[in-house]
Amino acid sequence: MELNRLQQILARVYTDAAIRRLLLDDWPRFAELFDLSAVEADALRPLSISPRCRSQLIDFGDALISKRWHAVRALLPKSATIGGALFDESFRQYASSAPPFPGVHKHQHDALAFFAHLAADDRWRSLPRWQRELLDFEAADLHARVVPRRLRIRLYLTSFVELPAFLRSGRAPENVREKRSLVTWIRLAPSRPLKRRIWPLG
Amino acid sequence: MRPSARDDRARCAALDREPTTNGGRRPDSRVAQAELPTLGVGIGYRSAFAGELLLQQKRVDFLEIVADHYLDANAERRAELARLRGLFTLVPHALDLSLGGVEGPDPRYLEQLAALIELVEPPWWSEHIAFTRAGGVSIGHLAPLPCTNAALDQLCANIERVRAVIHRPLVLENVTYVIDLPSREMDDATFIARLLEASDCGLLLDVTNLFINARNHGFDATDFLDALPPERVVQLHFVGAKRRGSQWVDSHADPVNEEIWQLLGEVMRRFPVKGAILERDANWPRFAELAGELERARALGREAGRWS
Ligand SMILES: [Fe+2]
Repeated sequence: MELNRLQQILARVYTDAAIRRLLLDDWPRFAELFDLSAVEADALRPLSISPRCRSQLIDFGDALISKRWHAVRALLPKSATIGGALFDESFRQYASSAPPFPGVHKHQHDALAFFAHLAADDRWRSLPRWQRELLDFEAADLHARVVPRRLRIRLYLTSFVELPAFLRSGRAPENVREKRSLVTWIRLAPSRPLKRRIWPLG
Repeated sequence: MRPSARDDRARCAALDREPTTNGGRRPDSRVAQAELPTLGVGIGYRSAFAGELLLQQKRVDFLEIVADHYLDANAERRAELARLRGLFTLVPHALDLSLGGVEGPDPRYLEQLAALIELVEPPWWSEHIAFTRAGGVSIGHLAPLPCTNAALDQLCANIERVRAVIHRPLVLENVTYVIDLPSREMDDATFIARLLEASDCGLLLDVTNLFINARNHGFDATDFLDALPPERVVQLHFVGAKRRGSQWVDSHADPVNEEIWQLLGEVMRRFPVKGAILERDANWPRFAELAGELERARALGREAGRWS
């Protein structure tokens, strides 16, 4: 089988859970989707029928998602901790249909796209406001580091100046929403450092 | 009939006749292994332990940096790179050239990587024997290549393209694979040995990847070592591996297993390696514990006469 065709088909199988399922469970439709010649079908059929190949393929698909999950957790650690099982379950759902991003900032873009997916989930919206705002702040901070823009401003109802002290003392963080915060991210030029400031609004 | 190393080299030499950007000089990307400096034992740099590393820098002989982290980098990353360059010898480790891909390296990525390598001036740099893109899809992982003649030709063609713009010695790393692709024409060791000879590259032998592949695919790691051209083994990677169900996985998150220490010692005794890197990516203990692993690896190299 020609190397080019093999790589193109494998790339789709590795990154798209629906196509992987077709290969495992519906060979005729898989063969039709890629318009496989007899030689190509002979080369790829073992992946579909050999029990060893099938389990290897499932393991590989899982490993790819797990690798992305680890990278995204590292970039959004607060969201991962506060979101808990919802974060993990939602990531699996997101990643099985969203292929990885290309380029050197692929994990950062993956994290931002996943955050948008998560923020649209009803269960996420039922979290206390201070938690949602803290996580929005985390994603906005990541965005500011990755996407070149000179100025970014966000207004929060939570006081990010007081929140760390509330969390340390174990007091109910809900109370910190009485004081709002304005957060600015400024990078005057790509070669200049990013400056983030939290402005308490009282 | 199985092609010989000479046939492989002839095929690559034909590709080599394309014009080079360094005035037709023999590119120094082919510097003989014996001429490379001995670096000792270091660690793959991760920002997570940056603070502790600076405090214990004397326990680290050199650093491997993930090249991709410094391409298209913001000011913070560039400042970090400048700091590291002032303290350590750096060896860039690239992830996304897709050296085995039929589409070849992405020109923008290659250009940025070349600029980084020119800036860092490493004794060598490394990439993987894998493909990461095909048909416009980015796989986000080092996907294994089928061990075929066509894959060897593709690797050689891409390596020559890369050498036209990056004039530092390239060493190639063996990856783990979960799926044993059905179109295999030769075993892993033959594939890698022929690739090294044909492309005239060094090997970054990931000892942990070798251990994992040997266990998962039922071959003997020492048979694999027997097939390698000793003078081409330049650098090593090592880290712990973990068993998940019936499979070993390269989680890069565990202390080095006793069996991997044994294999690392065997590799150090057999090959004139110039450096070894602990490649830990997650689940970091205190840096002192990592430094202990570096010291154990350094002692293995010392016993084997690789460094003093
Ligand atoms: Fe490695």
